[in-house]
Amino acid sequence: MIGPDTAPTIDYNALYQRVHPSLFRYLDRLVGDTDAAEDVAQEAFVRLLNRSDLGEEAARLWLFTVATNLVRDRGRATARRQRLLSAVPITPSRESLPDEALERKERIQAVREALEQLSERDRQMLLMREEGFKYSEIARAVDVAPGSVGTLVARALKRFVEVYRPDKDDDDSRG
Amino acid sequence: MTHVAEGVLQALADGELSGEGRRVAERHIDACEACREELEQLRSASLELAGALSLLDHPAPQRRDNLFAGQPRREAQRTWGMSRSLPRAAVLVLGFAAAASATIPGSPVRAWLGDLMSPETRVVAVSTPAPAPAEPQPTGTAAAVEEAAAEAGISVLPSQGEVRIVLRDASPELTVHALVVDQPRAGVFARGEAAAARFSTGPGRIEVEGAGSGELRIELPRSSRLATVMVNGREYLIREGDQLRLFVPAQYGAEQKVSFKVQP
Repeated sequence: MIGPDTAPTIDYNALYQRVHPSLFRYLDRLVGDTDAAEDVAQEAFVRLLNRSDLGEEAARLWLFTVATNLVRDRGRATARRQRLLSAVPITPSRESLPDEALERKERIQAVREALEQLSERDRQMLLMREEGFKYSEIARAVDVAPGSVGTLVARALKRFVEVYRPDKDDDDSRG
Repeated sequence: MTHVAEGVLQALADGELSGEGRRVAERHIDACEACREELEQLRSASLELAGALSLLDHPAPQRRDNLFAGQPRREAQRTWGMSRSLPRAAVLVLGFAAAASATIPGSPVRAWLGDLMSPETRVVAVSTPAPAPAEPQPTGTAAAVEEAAAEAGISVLPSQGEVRIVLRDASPELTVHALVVDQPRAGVFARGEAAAARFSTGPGRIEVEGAGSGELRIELPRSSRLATVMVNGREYLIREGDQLRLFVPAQYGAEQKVSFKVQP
């Protein structure tokens, strides 16, 4: 049992400053909602206070894993609420935007749609990789063998590009 | 012929391969064009993803003060003082009016910074330039100081050997100069209307939004393993080791300096 004399020590201030920007970016990309991303990030840090057994490096991975689970749980709760409520069709309106802003909005939509085409696991892997996690950490987070991370990432990347830029040449000529 | 497995190529591209495994893979790739192309494809896809994801990014909302006030103190004086973390991440506003008026007469220019996300971020302060001299000064120290004084920007340390510079909503009137420097930090420095852009940073990353006409100077540290420059969602430049690749028309200058315009 880890006692007070041997407990890993965490400088929470430093950890927060170091990890929060990355965690927020990861969640913002995952969720697509800035406020929700910040809420989940804050919740994850609050929960960390109850984990006195973690060292700083373990805490970083733990935060991302907990935050991802919170997003998943929120998603399930939202889906349940939507099923219970009577659905009112919403007609999307085409906003009157300058061309450049409209193009940017459409590109953002294209990125979101490409991400949605990936499995939850692949999406999480790619986004964690973007935040600098090692393969061994990603493997622990998504519960796969470390040796398979490279293959899964490669396939997820190709899948993303395939959907995001369907007109891109896909020249696979290896024999 | 047995090729290098896709997963191994990806691991190599991500710096996850080491020792004998890495050497074996690299030896094969040196001799196999197909594997080189596959590796290139994976790297290109990675950059594509990075550029696409950068379109989604927003600055974090303002953090709530004293969120953790009242939390019991842990042993060894560890507390989580949100109010203490704020000053370093506070929004800084630098006034460039005097500097801007020297370059764009009658046009007030305001530059401001978004949240500074990393304590390693360093902001280059702008000093008010000296009044224009009566006679043209020869090039030299005084001119260089004045030029530096009319410029402002931001620098960061690479993260895990990598640097990413992302320009969003950059104007086609913008000229960008990129050069390799013998310094540990990557930097972006703006002059002219480009100084009105919004700067933000992350680990190994500088983002510039809304750079207008004018000039941007990007400094890439020679010691960084990988440096990329994305403009309006497209990769413009990749520097990997000693290899520099450009994906837009550019002019090459002395000392590994390249200049290019933002493509429409």
